[in-house]
Amino acid sequence: MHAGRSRTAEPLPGGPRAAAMGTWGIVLTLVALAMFVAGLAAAALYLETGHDAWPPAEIPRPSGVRAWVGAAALVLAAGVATVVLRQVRSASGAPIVTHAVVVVTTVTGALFLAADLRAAPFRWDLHAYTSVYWVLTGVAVVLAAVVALMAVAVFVQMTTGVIDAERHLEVGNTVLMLWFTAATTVILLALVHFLPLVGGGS
Amino acid sequence: MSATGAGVGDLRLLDEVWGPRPGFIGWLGQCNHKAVGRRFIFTAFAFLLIGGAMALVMRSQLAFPDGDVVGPQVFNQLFTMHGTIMMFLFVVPMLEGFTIYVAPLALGARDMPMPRLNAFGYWVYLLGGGLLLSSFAVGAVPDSGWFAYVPLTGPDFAPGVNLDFWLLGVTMLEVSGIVAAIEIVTLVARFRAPGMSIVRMPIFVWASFVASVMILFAFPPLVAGTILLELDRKVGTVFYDAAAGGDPLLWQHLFWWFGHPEVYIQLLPALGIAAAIVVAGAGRRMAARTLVIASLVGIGILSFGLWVHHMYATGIPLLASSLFTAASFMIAIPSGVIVMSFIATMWWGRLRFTASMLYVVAFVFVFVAGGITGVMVAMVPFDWQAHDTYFIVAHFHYVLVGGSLFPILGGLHHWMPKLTGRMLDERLGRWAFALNFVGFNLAFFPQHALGLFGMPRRVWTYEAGLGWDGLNLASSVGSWVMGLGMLLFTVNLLLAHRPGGARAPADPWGADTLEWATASPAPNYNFAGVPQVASPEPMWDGVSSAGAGDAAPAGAAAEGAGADGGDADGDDAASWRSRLDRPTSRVRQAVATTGLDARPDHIVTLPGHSLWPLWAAVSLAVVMVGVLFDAVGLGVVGLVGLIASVAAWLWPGVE
Amino acid sequence: MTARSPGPITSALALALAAGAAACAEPRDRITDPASPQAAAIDGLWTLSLVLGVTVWVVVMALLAVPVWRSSRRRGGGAGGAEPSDAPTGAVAANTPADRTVPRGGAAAEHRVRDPGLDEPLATADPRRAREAGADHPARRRLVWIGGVITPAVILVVLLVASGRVGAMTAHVERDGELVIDVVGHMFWWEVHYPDEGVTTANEIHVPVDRPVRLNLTTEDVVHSFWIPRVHGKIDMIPGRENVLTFEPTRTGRFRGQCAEYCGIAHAQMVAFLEVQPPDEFDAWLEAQRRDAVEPDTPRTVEGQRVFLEAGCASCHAVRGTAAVAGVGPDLTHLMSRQTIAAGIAENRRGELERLIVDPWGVKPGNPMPPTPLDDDELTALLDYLETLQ
Repeated sequence: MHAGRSRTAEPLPGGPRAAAMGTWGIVLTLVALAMFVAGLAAAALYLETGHDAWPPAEIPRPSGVRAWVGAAALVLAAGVATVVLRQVRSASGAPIVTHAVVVVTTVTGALFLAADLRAAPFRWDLHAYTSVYWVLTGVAVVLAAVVALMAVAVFVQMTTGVIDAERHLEVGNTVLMLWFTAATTVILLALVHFLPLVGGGS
Repeated sequence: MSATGAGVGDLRLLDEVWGPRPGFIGWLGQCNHKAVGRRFIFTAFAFLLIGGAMALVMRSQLAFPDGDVVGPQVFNQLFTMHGTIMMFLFVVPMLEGFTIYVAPLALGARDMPMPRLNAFGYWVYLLGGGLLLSSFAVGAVPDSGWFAYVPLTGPDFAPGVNLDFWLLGVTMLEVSGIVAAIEIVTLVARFRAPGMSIVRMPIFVWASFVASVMILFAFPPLVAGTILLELDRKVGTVFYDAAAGGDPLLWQHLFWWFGHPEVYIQLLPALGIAAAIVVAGAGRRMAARTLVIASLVGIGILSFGLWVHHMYATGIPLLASSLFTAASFMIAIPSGVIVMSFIATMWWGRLRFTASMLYVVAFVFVFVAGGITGVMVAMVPFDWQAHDTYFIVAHFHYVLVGGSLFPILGGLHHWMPKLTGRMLDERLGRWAFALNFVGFNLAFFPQHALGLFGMPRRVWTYEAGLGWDGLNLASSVGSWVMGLGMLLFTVNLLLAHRPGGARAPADPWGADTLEWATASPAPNYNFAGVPQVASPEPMWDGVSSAGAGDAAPAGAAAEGAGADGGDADGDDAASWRSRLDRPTSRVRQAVATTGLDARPDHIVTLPGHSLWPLWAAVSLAVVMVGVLFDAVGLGVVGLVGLIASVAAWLWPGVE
Repeated sequence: MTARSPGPITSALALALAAGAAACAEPRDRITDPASPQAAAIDGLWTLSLVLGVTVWVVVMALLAVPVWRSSRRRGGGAGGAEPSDAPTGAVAANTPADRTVPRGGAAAEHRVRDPGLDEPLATADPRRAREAGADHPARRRLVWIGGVITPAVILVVLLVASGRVGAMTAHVERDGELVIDVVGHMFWWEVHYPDEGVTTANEIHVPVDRPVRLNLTTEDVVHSFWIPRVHGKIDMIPGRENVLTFEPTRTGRFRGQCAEYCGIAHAQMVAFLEVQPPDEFDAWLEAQRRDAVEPDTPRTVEGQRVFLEAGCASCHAVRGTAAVAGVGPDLTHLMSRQTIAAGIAENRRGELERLIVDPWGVKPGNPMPPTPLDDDELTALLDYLETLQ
């Protein structure tokens, strides 16, 4: 998003063409977060390739229904947040109401993911697979919680009138973070729930 | 300082706007890059002395067979902390400090793009370092080596809190590094002076930029790895527990994915420092400048393909490890380019032998030797012999002392005028250099032979009669000599800052980059006026300017900003340029430019004083301490504090 | 001002040489004195890389010495004295005098110190200087390409081929008639099994000369690394894995090695010996090792065995043929056949044994073996008994 949308940036004549500092900040943060998640994902893949059966037969398979519902909620939240951004930009519709939906959906997603952990049929210390399940799902929960906080912050900013058609970098950054969280959650859940279908590596 | 272009009153206001608030709170809440950069540099220097003192104790223990200076427990703690301090608390923060102080000046900017984040990075670094060192006070010093191999660091074999200190401290330092990297990348992307297209950027800033991008890709996986290990230790997950389906090698992969790029993260900005010194000292453009920049980028990319060469002895199949031999060899080529460029620059230039230049010559001398032993240990079969012996210890000290420490010491000589307005004494500096150089080689050259004679690293004692005695004694003598050199360097540093010492001129070296275009030390606002850059050596080309009131000079406009016809730099330029210099309200404003060709794009309002970064860092430290001592309540308090202070930090208009 | 400091560098170099000369002593085990074809191949690779490396280093240093030497001559002979024709003259010297390294306060500071607000070129415009500073002399580029890219690439290809060949020669391959030995790393000693022979010992590995040996390496606790420099490189012992090391000793002798991966407090005192013997000696040793421990035959040694079994020794150590079967510490069935105790750090003498039993942490700090409280009679009896375990 170019710098015209940031509260702290003032375009020079000729219009801003470059992205705002804040956009660089969030994108680089997402790069770092993506590498963090990649480290976890690589760990899961590495452990899987070291086993004949992943997880071993005696370990029950978690259902994952709640987790996928949570992931779907996050994807939905990201989509709705994109609509919010469009509304804010064009000063149309009721972005506060739409954004309330985003907040609720995000929190719902986080809660469903957490509920999946509560319903897990095993503890984390049973086997490497159970550790992977708990930590990968747990990271998704934490990311969802963080982005929920961001969404709440944006909501508060909207109600106090800090955000308008000209100054809405926060909304854009939250949308980016939401999409990142939704995508990461889907990838992490896929690693947890689909790798067992492939079985072990060696 | 006097001024004609902007007027004395304007400069005073500008100085006030960009300066710290009065009083201790004002000093504490500074976010300006100069304050933060200086803090980084001097804190890191203090850690260097601490880590060096530890090395001296270790060398004293090993001076004679069956030594009894310290026991095994203390020795193991010392080498663990020596490595950790030098890696995480000295080299990386020191180079970040140089970048944070010098890079905005060299780019003609007024501050880092996110000053509060900058301050946050420093506080996290300071508190993380404090957390690590506080383990001495508690008597639970980490003792498992700086790469903390599991299962020795797992819950079964390291039940105390020693390793938790290490893991949590290192995690904080990684956070600090990532934060600084985000800053530096954004700085390079947005805050180059108009006309400073990406190829005109100083080599030092290029090197720091590449290292920062590397940090973004290398540090987070280690954070993931340390979190998994901490979970193994604290809540009983089994990622690294072979008995429960985990794998200890996973740690080694995650660690070295970070660990190898880390070596180059420590090397590249130091190469950049050396390049700055050489160019200034030779009065010449860096030889094959573009190729050097390409080599920096190439090293950055290649360094991610080498991590397995730390793991040849783990039984990885020969074919796979041979691929890593080839990859490791490849990195010798960009390194060779850079070394030859240094030599060519010196050869076709007119050298002045300042103390900083001596350090650069020593850097080439030592670093080439370290690079050659690096090629040797990249060969799988030879590494089977050399791995984890004193040969490796010698190798990486040649690379890191030669490649990082010497340029850093040279850089302190080079930039001290700009940092504090004082100059280090040349004569003392030469003596310190001679002691450091001779001491270093005497300390570490014999270690090559020790490794070939079968001495493993990390041994706290050895018996007589193995043929190791004389070499170890020589090595210890060398370390004491180098210790003396560092002491002399520190004395020099203190003497230069005695009250009433001579002030440094703005540009004592006749150097090429923009940081020398402003007073020493740099004023609060860095530059009155927005510099206009026309070449990689703006101080030499006779065209680049530090214009304050008028449009850009013709030469620069033609070559730089005038790339597209309808540029902003016309009559409008006069107004925004003068507004930056004659602030009407008390806000800090700076111009941001486009990414590649650095055309003025928008004006950014930067925050000034703020304590929220400090509170956020303190909250993070409280979370860490809560985890350390299993104090859930404390952890929750810290977490709430963190969220609250970040919210206050980001809230528009809150200081 | 920059009067040459009277050689702090030269004076210190002399010191370095003197100390270096004092450092020479014949090392006991070095990788350049190989005792197997594997170690010999690696030694050859080392020699090749050493020769190439030293050559490269000397050439680079010679290149570096030229500008250093030239500039020091210039300093002696005044500015512009010994200039290469293609280096800038005059202008640069005038603009950047060597003595600018010294801070010049007050009046002299006008040089290059501009008022920051002035809208003028940053430096005094000197077109000659600007041209010279910016010129990228083709010779410089050529030096960088040839010295930095082409030469290293050629050398590296040579080394890559050599490294690959040596790797293929030294990597593990199954061989007929190989002697299989399982070595298990412990904190802080080595457990040694001969699975085909039913023999268990510790820390001292006996092998016959000129026969391929296969070591299966595992660990009981943390990561260790097994290394006998004179026969082969090291390989790690990693929990949950088995690594294999094969070599064929071609010289008899007693070769020393140490754990090479930091494994905890007593990592420095975890020594292994490889005893390469003529085949008949090895067979005799094996034969002796297969036997159970000798029965105690005097009252003292019977008492000693009782102490061994009851005072706590037997809860960690095994003596085959008795009730002591634990595998926590080294197997002591043929303790007296070993030359060292405590993982190769002490001679196997009565006095050292006594010290190890009474004060194990004094012999080896961090030793998992606890001190055993015994009165003098018990201790003497125990030592007498241990000395029968031939």
